[in-house]
Amino acid sequence: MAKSQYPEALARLIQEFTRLPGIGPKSAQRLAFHVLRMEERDVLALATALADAKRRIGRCSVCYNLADTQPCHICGDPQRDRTVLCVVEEANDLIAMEKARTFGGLYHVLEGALSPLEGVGPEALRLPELVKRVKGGEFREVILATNPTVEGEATAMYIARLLRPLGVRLTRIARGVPVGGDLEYADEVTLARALEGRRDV
Amino acid sequence: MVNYKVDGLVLKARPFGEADRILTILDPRLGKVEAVAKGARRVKSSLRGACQPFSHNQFFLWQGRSLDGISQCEVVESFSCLRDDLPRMAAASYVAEFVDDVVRERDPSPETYELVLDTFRWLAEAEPTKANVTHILRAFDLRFLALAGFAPSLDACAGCGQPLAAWAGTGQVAFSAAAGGVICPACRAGTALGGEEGTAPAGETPGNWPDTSRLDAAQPGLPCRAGPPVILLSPGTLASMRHLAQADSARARVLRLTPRAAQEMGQALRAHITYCLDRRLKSLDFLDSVLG
Repeated sequence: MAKSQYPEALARLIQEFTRLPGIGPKSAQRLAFHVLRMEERDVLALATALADAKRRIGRCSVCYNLADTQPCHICGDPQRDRTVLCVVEEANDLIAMEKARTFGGLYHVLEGALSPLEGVGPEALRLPELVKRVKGGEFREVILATNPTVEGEATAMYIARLLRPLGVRLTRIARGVPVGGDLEYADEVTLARALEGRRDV
Repeated sequence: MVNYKVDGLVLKARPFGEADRILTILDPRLGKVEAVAKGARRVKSSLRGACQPFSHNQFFLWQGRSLDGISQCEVVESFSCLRDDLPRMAAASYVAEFVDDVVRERDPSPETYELVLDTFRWLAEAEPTKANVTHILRAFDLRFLALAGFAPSLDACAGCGQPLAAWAGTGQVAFSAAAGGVICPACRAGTALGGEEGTAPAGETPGNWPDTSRLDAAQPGLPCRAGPPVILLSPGTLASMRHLAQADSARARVLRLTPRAAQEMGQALRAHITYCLDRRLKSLDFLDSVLG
């Protein structure tokens, strides 16, 4: 192999950047050169932030959201409605829901979705924990907010099967035309769903 | 840039990169085609709805350097009920995984396409009870194995080739996955599992066989030797298997499968398929847990 054109420390930095998603050798080089141009204190702040995030962020022991406190800020918030539970696949789904600002209840993060083709079975998800929470809690309603993909639908159906005997109200988020979308450009499957899920005005 | 049209069933749609999906499409003329649907996971993408597994779509593809891409698509038959119901979804996943594993890329097989389409339609129409789903999947297994060249021998001993009538009485007949079908008592007693040289892949060690314990547990009375176990089939089961292997879809549907035949056939075919593919299909666990 040819000797690297970069000084050793720079080559290592580029190498580390290429580990990030969407970063190829070219982008890694650009980022590395940018780091060299930055103020030393900014570089140190970045490095500490990286290490800190990795060290301090874990999973909430109640809802499995990413958290730096136990329980997480949502589970520990006395303002939140403790009778509604929203089940999502991943922590980023939870963030997306929070951004909508219409949901004031609690969450449960499954850390994945059932995928028979990839060999992801029920045992890989936080399902026993969910059942235990619903059994022990005072939830009136459980909202299944998994993705509208095959995996997400399968997961929602599977959870519905598990929770139905507990007598709690189970709902599934609606599927339909996106806000600001144009019917003409909506796909057939989504339109069919939108029509099925129509409601009185 | 060369564009072309693909009219097929989506077997798999796995997430790729930030917002893309790679689709595995089964087309009657082109065979199995892989293509990337750019941005198909974004809410605003018009490809999103059609990129769901098991749907039957018309795709317009552009030729890429390593991977072709999807520019447009239109749903022909969405098969949404295969995704909205757990047993159906589990069964369709099994079919898709099996086909994806066996069929090679760009190797056209209109018969396989017809069979998968027919199986999806049948799954969509039938009440998704355990009995129905099992019936549909066994009919699929037998017909697909025949198309793929993996058909188990059901008329003659897989070891010595003697026709069944010459050695089978009215009792149960042994089925050996290692031999590739039913085996006569002489072959079974002779060499290990009755396979003549060449019937079992060379270099097969007992440790390679992944699932002996599970199958043995279901049939405690069977001899436990190295390799896949021997499964006993009653004459009725064998007759049903032969019928399903040769039947067209209409005749496959009218067959009445007894629970016993379904169970024995299921065990024999599962062992056979696992042996042929040299791996256990991943969707089997999910299927088992859903059908309960």
